[in-house]
Amino acid sequence: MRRLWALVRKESYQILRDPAAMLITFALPPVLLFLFAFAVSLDVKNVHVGVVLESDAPAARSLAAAFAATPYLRVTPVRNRREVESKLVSGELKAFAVIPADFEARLLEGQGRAAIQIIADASNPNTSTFTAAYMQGAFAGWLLSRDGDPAEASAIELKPRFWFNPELQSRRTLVPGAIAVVMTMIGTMLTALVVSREWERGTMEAMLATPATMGELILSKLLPYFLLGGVATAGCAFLAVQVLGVPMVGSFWALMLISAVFLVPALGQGLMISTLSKNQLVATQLAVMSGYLPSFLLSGFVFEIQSMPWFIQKITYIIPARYYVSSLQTVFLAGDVWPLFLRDMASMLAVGAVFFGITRLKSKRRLD
Amino acid sequence: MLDRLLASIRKEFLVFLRDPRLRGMLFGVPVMQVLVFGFAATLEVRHVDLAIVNDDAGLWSREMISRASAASFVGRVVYLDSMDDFTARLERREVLLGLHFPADFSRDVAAGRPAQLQVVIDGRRANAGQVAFSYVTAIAAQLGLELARSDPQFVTPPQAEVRHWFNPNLDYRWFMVPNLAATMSMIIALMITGSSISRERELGTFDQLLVSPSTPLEIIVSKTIPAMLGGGIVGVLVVGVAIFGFGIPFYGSFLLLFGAMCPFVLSVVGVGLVVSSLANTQQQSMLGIFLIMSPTIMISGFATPFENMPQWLQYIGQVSPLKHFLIIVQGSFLKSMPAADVWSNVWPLLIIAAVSFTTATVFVQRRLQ
Repeated sequence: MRRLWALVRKESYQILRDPAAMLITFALPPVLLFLFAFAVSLDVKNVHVGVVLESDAPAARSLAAAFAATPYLRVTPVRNRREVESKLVSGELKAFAVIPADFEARLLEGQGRAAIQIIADASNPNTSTFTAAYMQGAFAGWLLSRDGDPAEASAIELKPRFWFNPELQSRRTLVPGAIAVVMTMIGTMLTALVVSREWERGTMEAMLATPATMGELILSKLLPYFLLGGVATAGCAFLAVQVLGVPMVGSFWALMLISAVFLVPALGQGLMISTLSKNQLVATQLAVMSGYLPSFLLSGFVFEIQSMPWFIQKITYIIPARYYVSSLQTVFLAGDVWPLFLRDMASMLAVGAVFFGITRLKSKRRLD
Repeated sequence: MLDRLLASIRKEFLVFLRDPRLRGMLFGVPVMQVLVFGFAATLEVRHVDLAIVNDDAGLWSREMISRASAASFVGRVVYLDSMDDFTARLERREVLLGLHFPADFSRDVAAGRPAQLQVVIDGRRANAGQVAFSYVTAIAAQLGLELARSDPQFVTPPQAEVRHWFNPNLDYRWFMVPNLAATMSMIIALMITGSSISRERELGTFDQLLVSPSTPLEIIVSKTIPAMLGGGIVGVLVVGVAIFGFGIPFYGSFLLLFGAMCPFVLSVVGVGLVVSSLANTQQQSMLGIFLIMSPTIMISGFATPFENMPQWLQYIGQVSPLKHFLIIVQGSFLKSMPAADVWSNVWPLLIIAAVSFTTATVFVQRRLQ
């Protein structure tokens, strides 16, 4: 026990003296949180679109004015299709509407014939769908205000309610997700780097020659990072709630408990990577590819897991961040839902056990 | 002079190609990643779980339910007896959304009164929930239109015809996989350069470079070329996977795309060299690279549209080489982007490269003195 304590102290000093580790723990979390709060946004607004006015009829002008007055659109009016087509290719415009020369005749004819054409740049399908929907909405609104007759008074009136996030701010779901990315960095990336450096420099072998056991060595390496992760969680939660305006419906201690459990597979993954690679460049590369990118792309906070093909869904089961994101979003937005927390924590511990198991097998074989 | 340069370039190559794990890591892993993320990163909504709470015994709620259940965005349908049961399941994330039909739903539809249908959505999954809600809206509107058509006086209002150019089926992979080609190429180039100078310093071989007749410029060039090739090869490899593996159409010019890839990788390598020349150890430079890499990816429009960001962040985003190259890659794949448009995204890359290389040379020079 005293030996373990001494080792932990040695490792802690090493971290505290290392400017790079300090940078990752204290500079990276706010940077990542702010980026996810501001840079990653699925809320399409102020889209630049063109309106091609081929008709001089009053109705056509009035529709063009209606497009220009739509809050989400920034309209560039032109006379000729050609002008906007090339801007769609260069990306200056995301869509354009064509009001044809025979617009008034088409309007009178009715019976579902297309009165205008909306062409959207689908090279980004998400923006394209939203932009087209805004423009269709502007057209429908204009028709309604002109005819004054709600022709389509719909038979079924939908009453949507978005629970846990009534204003539908994507920031509220993304910031808890960003905490998972930050913690993956601290847990997996830092550990992978530190331990692989020991292997690369040969100091790991030197440590093995001491009376300390393998278990003590590993524990002493992981414990400081475990504490560092706890500090980072508390810091992230403070930023999220106080600065970024994310509500905290659940309890702080539930958040800390979930985060502590998440660190088990995260640290295990870092340790596994370093044991398998024993080279800093390879370890970083692996940590980015198997830790950072999956925590961003496969954990379900940007991209919906259920919409992925089934074999990718199977892969997400071994990504610890998947369970962590689910619990984080819940503790921030929905409250303490213990059945969900327990399920997620059990899954994280199971994944952690697999990582530590592989590490143990591999390190035994190499250290005979 | 040229011999000396060639020799040091050869040495840099050997450092990377000698280690088989490193080789696999550099070229095998990116391809694997593209396969996984290309399929995973989609904002389409499919196979989500839907709950139904039906207090109505009539015909119209059943009609609405059967249409919703048949829609491709719905996976499993769970029928529940009470809203309490539904609430508990929504809290535990077992369903994404629920439809609640009040008792007089069918009576209202039959009487021509607007019938209310409550749609409750998990706001924790804001994007998927929003998309799923738009699907439900479309189903309800279609049903409403069919009901209205049965009225002989009904006139269908004028429509707007929507066309999605460049990607008519709105396939998300056509957007994501070309983006991954650029991103993977950047990650690899950054990693290789990031470790190059700091590695020598950590191993002490930088001192040997100091006593060699190599000039700072030569050191920089010899460190640049392997990284450029590494990033370039990965870029070309992933473009190949996109075209032949994913079947994504390529309408543009390979010459323009690969021509633009050179200044892109060059600018990325420049940034990597600055970090590497500042760091004392490999570990520091790796973390530094990472600290630069993740914001660069996030403000580039890789996962979510550049234009959605606030204006001040869009100004900062101009510094990201990836932002400019993503426009070129997407344009080359789907839009057959002309040379003039490619050029207007290449010159910012050249400026970034010029600034970063000058900075790196100055730093290396200072180390030499």
